[in-house]
Formats: sequence, structure tokens, C-alpha cells
Amino acid sequence: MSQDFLDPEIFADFIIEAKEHLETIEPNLLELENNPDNLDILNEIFRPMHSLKGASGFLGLNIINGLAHKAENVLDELRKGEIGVTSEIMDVILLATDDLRRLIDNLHESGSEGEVDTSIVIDRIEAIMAGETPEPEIAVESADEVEPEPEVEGTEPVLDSVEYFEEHELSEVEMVQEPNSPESSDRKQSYQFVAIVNTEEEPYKLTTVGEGHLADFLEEAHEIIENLTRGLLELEQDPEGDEELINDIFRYFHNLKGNSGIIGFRELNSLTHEAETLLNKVRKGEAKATHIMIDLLLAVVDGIESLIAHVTPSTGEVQPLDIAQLVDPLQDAVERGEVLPVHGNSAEDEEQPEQAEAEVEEDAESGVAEDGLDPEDVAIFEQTVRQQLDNISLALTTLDEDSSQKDYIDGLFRSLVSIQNSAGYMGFDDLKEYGERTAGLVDQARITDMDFGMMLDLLRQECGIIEEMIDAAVAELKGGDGDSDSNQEAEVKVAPKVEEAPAPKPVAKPAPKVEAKPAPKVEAKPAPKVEAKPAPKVEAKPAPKVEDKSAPKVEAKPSPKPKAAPAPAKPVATSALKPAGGAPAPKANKPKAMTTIRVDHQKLDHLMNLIGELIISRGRYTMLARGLEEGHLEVPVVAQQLTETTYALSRISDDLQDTIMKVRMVAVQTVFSRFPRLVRDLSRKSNKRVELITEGEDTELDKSVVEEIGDPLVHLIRNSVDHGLEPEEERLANGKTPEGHVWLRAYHKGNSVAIEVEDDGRGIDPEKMRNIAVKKGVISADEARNLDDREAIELIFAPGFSSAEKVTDISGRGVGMDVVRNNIKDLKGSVHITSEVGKGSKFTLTLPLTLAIIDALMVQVNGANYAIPLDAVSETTKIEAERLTEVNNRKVVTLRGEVLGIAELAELLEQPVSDPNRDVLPVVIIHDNVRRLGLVVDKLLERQEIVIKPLGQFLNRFDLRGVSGATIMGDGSVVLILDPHEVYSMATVKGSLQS
Amino acid sequence: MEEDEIKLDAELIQLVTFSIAEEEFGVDILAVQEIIRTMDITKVPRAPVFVEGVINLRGKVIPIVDLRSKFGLETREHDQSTRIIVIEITDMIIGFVVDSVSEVLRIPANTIEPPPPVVSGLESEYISGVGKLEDRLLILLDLNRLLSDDEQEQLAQV
Repeated sequence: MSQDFLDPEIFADFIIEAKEHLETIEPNLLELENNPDNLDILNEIFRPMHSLKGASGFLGLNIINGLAHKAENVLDELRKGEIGVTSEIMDVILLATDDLRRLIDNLHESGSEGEVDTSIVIDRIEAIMAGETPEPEIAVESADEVEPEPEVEGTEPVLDSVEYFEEHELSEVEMVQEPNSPESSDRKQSYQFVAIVNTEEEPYKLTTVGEGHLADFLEEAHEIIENLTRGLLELEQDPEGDEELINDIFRYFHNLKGNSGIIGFRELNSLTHEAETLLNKVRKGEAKATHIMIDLLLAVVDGIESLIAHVTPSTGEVQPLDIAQLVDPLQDAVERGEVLPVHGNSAEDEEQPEQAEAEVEEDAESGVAEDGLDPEDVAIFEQTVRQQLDNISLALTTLDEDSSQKDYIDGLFRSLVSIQNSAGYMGFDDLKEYGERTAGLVDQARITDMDFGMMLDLLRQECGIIEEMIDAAVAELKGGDGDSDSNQEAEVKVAPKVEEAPAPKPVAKPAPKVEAKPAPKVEAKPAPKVEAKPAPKVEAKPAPKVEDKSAPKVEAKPSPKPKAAPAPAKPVATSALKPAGGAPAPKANKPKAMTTIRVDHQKLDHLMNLIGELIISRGRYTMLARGLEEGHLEVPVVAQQLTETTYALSRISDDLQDTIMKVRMVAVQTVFSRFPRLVRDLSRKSNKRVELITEGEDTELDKSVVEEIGDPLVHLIRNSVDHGLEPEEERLANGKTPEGHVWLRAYHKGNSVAIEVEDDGRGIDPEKMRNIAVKKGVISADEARNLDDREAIELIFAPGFSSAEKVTDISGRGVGMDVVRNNIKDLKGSVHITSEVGKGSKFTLTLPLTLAIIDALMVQVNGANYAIPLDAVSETTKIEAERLTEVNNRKVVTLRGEVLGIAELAELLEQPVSDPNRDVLPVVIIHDNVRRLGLVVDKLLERQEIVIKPLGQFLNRFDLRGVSGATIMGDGSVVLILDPHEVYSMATVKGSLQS
Repeated sequence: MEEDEIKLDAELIQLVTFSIAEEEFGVDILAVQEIIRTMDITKVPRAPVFVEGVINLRGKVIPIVDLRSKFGLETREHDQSTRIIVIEITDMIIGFVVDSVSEVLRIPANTIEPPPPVVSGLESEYISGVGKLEDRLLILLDLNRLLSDDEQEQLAQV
């Protein structure tokens, strides 16, 4: 929800950075797999993952944050050497990066994280952290599906897991504690379980009959945990509702209790026993399933999970954990018949999340940045909130002048929400709550359309307070002396809000608020200062948890630790605000993520210079014009100066164009970097050993092109690995190396860039292609006969065509290649295949350097002008009509010993041919890769640089083959740009259809 | 009840009215970006007949749809009164050629009635309603439907 209100700029920055992080992570992961001992690489992975976690938390992106956090944990374990690098772990981390990428893509496209199920990955990560073998079956299974003979590869996973076990035994004992996924769930839980190893107790052995027994137990336990989590979440939707559901949950606990009893797992047994007892009461109707109870039960599930994670599968030993933190509230609940909110009294204070404790203690004592907050986060926090504060003050000033400026109101709201999120992440709950409240105030005013002028005074005060709180918060984060002071201040400042909080609802009366504020400030200050340190958080907690919103706040005020309050209070607050804000707000604020580009500063300077020159030229024109008007300049002089100035101007505009193009250029590296991973996965899935060789990664292309070629290349590489490369035995039988090769190359070719995907596999058999195409009804048998080998191979691009005899989960569904061609066509590029049976195939994509400006040859047909991209023109010539002959219903001419097909451009464009009986035909010879075609036109015009304009969505609905876009001439007229590739295929289709 | 009626009475909608073949049409003024005189239109080969071509509208290439041929009426040469109404619909900017543009009208929303099955030969699917003026009828065009229809046609062809 919160990302709806993010500042679009920060949001866009985040997306860019996140993508960059993922891009650094992935290649390094692959590298790490080859050099498992290289700590540097590991650090290279850890750092971006950490940053990603930090930034996402900042923006309130819970799913990303949770996942990144998990991944970071694993990496940290690896870094500490507590677990070893195995390909299973790599798999899981790669999966995690996949999910992250998907989430970020969703963010980019739709502005929200979208629905990506990260639980599988998280579960696997947890399993790894717990020291379990992370289901190597997956790899083996899919391998089985694809190839029946996994002899060689098949042994690998086994080896891995053995190795894994060994390393793992060593590490298990040292694994002391890990917070058990508190962040991974995006729900705000009031009960949390923190795995604290009970050091007083020695690890003990479970009474299992062999390892198989234990494994069964663990497996079943995991299953139960899954079921429980699902059941509880379902129950939460409708706590009163389903009796059946409660029974189910009861049974799960019961089963687990039984199982743990059998193997003598004491902690688990007693924990499940308590949970079971509580649920039994619910079942009998003696207690009610409240949200708080579900929270508690979920914490219990976390606890169970953690307990199980501390079982060493190989030895059957278990590391006892402190479960009193869960057992006590459970017993308490059983006694009372209801679960109380998280309390500060009696034993229950133990169930405070440990982080909170740590936080609070450190606040009060040392003032050192809280754990988990590194200086980087702090810097980002400060920067963000400061920026938001600037925005706020700007918005307020503007609104002061004109209170009807909706944009600024929205901006104000966004800034407040940003502050809220940032503060929430940094653990400044008071600040967060305050920001949220003020944002809520703005939101309501926004929705009710009230006059904002009335609220400005109020808001200015509110924002002033926020600013002070931020100052205090930053000071606290930075450490330094007197921070506990400022800390107190920050907290005390919260006080006023307490009274205002109920007030904003009727919104329109600023007067009382003004009075209210100064008073508590003064009063409250001295008191807490004294009390703050000795009185621990314990007292603060009870009040806020109560459901009612306004009442507890007042009580909370004098207590020194409102800090703890916001977390539980938050659901209440949001639910109160949201319905009001509901529908209209998110719509208005949906951040359409911007795409940005990073520019070398020097290039910008250069652009600036050019603009300067441009302005000078403009001045010169004005001067010349005045000279003419006033008549003090001779016409010939003016003419000469005009020419000079025009030259200067064209030099400037050329330079401008060049520089802008350079700014837009990015290396194809950014796309290529994702393929080693792809090939690795494909190779594992298909059980073929494949080596990917990339060349020319630093070749630059327009950013818009680079962004679009990823998918087509994925298709091509998949195709090469899956269909192109033969299985190992076949390769050996054909005298090839057992390992298949796929080359990915980029290089400049004239005014365009070529990207090749080549494999040394079995190649494409044109005869086979013809047969399949006929069989699938793509073409008729007659047509098939008429195709030459090259055209037959190109059938691979026909929609619905798939030559694979069986569909694998990688490719072969016949949707890939035509999509490839269409995508490339959209980029004004073309695809071309060469293939030799038994030797391999090569797909060449030819792409324009940039999409915006091209060189073109202008021709005239039937009174209208057309532009043909010069890249595709090999020559222009004139041919006497009598030299034309007909072969196979196609007009051809022999030109310098080469037979060249000739077509009337007018005919292809379904226009009347203006003069069918000419003696001399102007011909443009175009080439589509190596194939050439002569186009007869009415008139050859000049060559020109043109700016490509899209024809637009409306015209794209129609089948306008042969036309790829339009351009605007100097005189303002529109000229259509032809697509040589399509023109060529139209000519050949015409030829073969007529036959 | 009474209040409702009063409110409806007060609700005026603004329409740009234009004529094609003696018939008067209206479109919501909010959809109209601008009205321009006719200019040189570049024909687009292989486009449907009702697409007259494309023009350069201040550096943007926009398609021009002839409403006469879209409605299946006889086309005619552009003349002094021919206008292109530039309209933005669902992120597309399209120019519609009409015989002439008459005026901007405010009519109460409650004088607009749902379309009869057939209005002067024009299929009622393109019509969102009929506005009753003092002495004549005004046909309100549903441009969205007018265009989405092309898509279906196109699909049917494929």
C-alpha cells in the first residue's frame, strides 16, 4: 500500500539502483560457484544485496525487503564460512534474485510489487539456514523429464549434498541465533518469536530410529508448519467463521505434538501442547479467535519453525531454544480464555521483539546507531527526510499563496508519507506515527475537498514539529553527545500530537490545536527526562495496544516511551484513514515509474556549450534580419553572412545530435550479463553441458534498443541450447566436443549493430523444415517446393511453427521465434539465419544504432514520396525494361552476372503503377541481409537524414506491412518510411503465391 | 425527488457540433483537442478506406479518419468548410474529417435520449444518444465505439 505514495523520483532511483544491484549480484554468483572460496566475490554479492534490503525497507517495500533480507542472511552465513557454497545454495540465491527482479519489474511497470510468491524461496532459504539439504530433487526431477539418460550429470547433485552435509555439521553448533523471519511477513505482528538459544541447556539427542525417522519427522513438521501458516492466515480473514478451519488448525498442532513427543523433542512438545490447549478452548467456544490470538499463534508457528531449524538432521541433536516467551502467553490465554494484547507486566515482557529491546536500550544508553542500521542507511535516511522537508516547506509556501493548488497538496501528502516510511524503517516509530497522522490529515482534507487555506496554519505547525523530530532523530542516529537529550526531546515532541490526533477528524478548527500545543510541550519535557532512563519500555506498552484510538494516546503521553506504541497502534490508525482515502487517493498518486539514464558530466557540459552556440547563432539571425529591415546592410553581405550562419548552425545541430545520441548509448553488456545465468539454468535443465562465449559486450546501442532486445535474445539462446545443441552422446558420435558452445556476439556493421547467437549444434535441415511446415499447415506442399533452402530455414519464424518433436518446458511450443522476429521488427531491425546441417546455426540480429534518426534514400512512387533506410540500400541504378526476363513468375534482371529479382514498388504498396510502359526503370536495390531485390520506383530523389516518427497506436491496428513509420520533411509534409525487410518478404510472398 | 430533477436540469453538457451529409452530430467538447482546417494528407498504402492518411500536426504524425466513409457515405472533395476535428481518445490522437463544424452548444443532460435503433441509416452502435434541440435533433457520437469497432473488423479479416 505505502508505495502508492512514494515520491516518484526516489522511486525511480530505487528501481535503477535495484536493477544495478541485481546485475552485479548475478554474474558474481555464477563466478562464486566456480570459485567457492573467494571471499571477495562473496562480499561483492553481499554488499548490493544489503543495499537492496536497506533501500527497499526504506520505501516500505515489504516483500522485496523480506526476501532480500533472507538472501542477505544466507550470504552472511556463507561469508562467515558457517556454511559452504554449494550449487543448491546458489540455486536458491539465484531464485531469490529472480523473484527480486520480478518484483522490481512489477514496481517499474505497475508501481507496486505485485503478486510474487516469495514464500517458496524464503522457505528454501530457511531450510538452508536450518542446515537442511534444500531439496535437490528439483534439479534431478526436471532432468529426468527432459532427458532419460542423466547418468553423468545425475550424480552431481548427490555429490553436492554430501559435501553439504559435512560442512554443515561443523557449522550447526555455532549457529547461535537468528531472528525468525519477523520481517518477511508483511503483517504487523504484535507477537513475535525470537530464537534465543537457551545456553543453560545442553544440546540433547532426539530418540529417533535412524536418520530416516528423523527425516520423516522433519518433513512432516515442515508440512504442518505450512498448513498452519495457511490456516491461520485464512482464519484471520474470518476469525469467527469457520469451525472446520479451527478444527484443522487444532489437529495440526495435535499431530505435531504427538510426533514431537515420540522423538522426545521437549520444547516442541510443550509448545504445541499449549497451542493445542488454547485451540481446544476455541473449538469448544470457551475462547474466541481474535486477531491477537492469531498473531500469537503465528508467532508460535514461527517458534516451531525455529525449533525445527535447530535440529541437526545428521546427528539428531537438538539445540534447545527459549520457548517461555510463547508458552507463557499461551498458558495465560488458556486461563483467561482470551489473548491479551502484548503486555509489559509479568513474564510477558519477554515476548517483546528483541529488536525493540535492543533499540530502546541503545537509544537510552549509548546512542550508537541501532544494530542493523549502518551508516549508509543513516545517510540515506537523512537525505531523504531532508529532501522531503524541503518539499513540504515549498508546498506550504505555495499553498499559502494559492490554497487550491492540488498538485502541491498531493506533493505534501507524498512527502509526509515518505517521511513516515523512512522513519518506520529506521525505527523512529514516533516520527513515523506523527508523519502518518499529518499525512492522514492532508489526505482527508484532500478528499473532502475542503479549503486548504484553513488548514495551513495547522499544517505548518505540524510540519515544524516533524522537522524538529527529524532533527532529533538524525542527531540520535549520528550519535554524539547530548543525543539522549535530543532523543527525549523527540519523544516529548510527540506529545502534542496526542491531543491533536482526535481533532483532525473534524479538521476545520485550527484554533484549539494552537493552544493545545505549547502547553504539553513545556510540561512534558522535564518529567520524562528524569524518568526516561530508569523506567524501561515495560510501562509504555500496555496502553497503545488497546483498540480504541484516542483514549490510550492520552495516557501514553506522559510515559517516556511512546516509541513502542506506534507499531501496535498502526493498524488501527491506517484502517481509520484508509477507508476515507480509499479509492481516489491511490489512483491520483500511482507513481508511473520514470525511466532515467545516467549521463557523463562531460557530455552534459558539452551539450551546454552547444546550446550556448545555438543561442549565439540565433542572435546573429536576429541581427541580420534587422540589418536587412533597416537597410544598412547590403543584400550580398547579408546573403553571405546568412550562409555562414547556416553552416554554423548545421555544425551545431550535428554536434547536438551526436552528443545526444552518445548520451543515449549504453553497452550491450547490460543485456548480455543476464545470459550466463540463463545458459547455466538451461544447461542444468536439459542436461547438456553448454559453454557460453560472449564477445563484444562493450558495443553500444541506443538505450531503447538495448532495453528491448533482451527477450528476443532469451528466445534465441533457449532455442540454441534446447534445439540446436545435441545431447552429449550424439555430439561425441559426430566427432564433436562433448560440451556444446553458444556464442553471443555484438559488433558494429556499418550504421547498425549486429548481434549474433551461434551454436555448434545440429543445424537446421531445410528439408525437415519444409515437411513440418506442410504438416502443420503453415504452407502448402506447392509453396514448400517453391521455397529455396534459405527460405525454408526461415520458416522457423512462421507463427505456429515448431520443429521440436517434443515440447519441453524450455522451448518448442512454437511461439518463440515469430515473437523474436516481431520484436526485432519493432526495433526497425531484422533477423537473419545461416545454418549448416551438422555444423550449427547462426542467428544474426541487425539493429539500428538508434531509433530516432536514420539516413534514408527518398524515392517517389505514384506521386508520393517514400523514405527507404539507407542501411538497406545497396545501390541505385537504371535498367532498360527490355532487359527484364521472367523466371518462375518473378521478374528478374541479370546485373553484373548476378540474377536480381525485380518488383514494382507501387504494386507492392497496392498502388497503381503510374507508367507501366517505361523504357528505363529507376531501380533501388535493397538488401535484406544477403538477399537482394530491385525495387522499381518512379523517381529517385536525394539522400536525407530523417527523424523517425511512429505512426501511432491507431494505425498499428491495421495491417500496414511495408511501412514502418513516418517522418516530417522540411516543408512540413509527412513522408512514410518503408521497411525493407517487409518489402522484401512481400515481394517474395507475391511471387510464390502467384505460382 | 424534486431536488434530483433540479440538479439534472442544471447539468449542462458542452458539445462541439458538426455536420456530415446534412446530419448534425455532436461530441463532448472535452474530448476535442482542436479543430483545424484541412491540409495536405499523406496517403498510407494498404490502410483501410476510411483512413485518409496522416498529417503533421506540429511535429506529430496523426492519422486522419474520414467520417463520411467510416459511416459508409459517399466521400467528397475537401472544400472551404471541411474541417479536421482532432480528438484524443484512449491515448490516441486522431483527426476526423467532417463537412463543417457548426458551433459549441450547451444542452441540458436530461434532454439527451438513448439512441433509437437506427438513425438515418447510421448504425446506432456508434451513437451514445440523441439530443433534442428546439427545432432539430443532434446525434451524439460514441467515438470510442467508433474506433474499437475497427479493431474487431480487423480481427474478423484475419
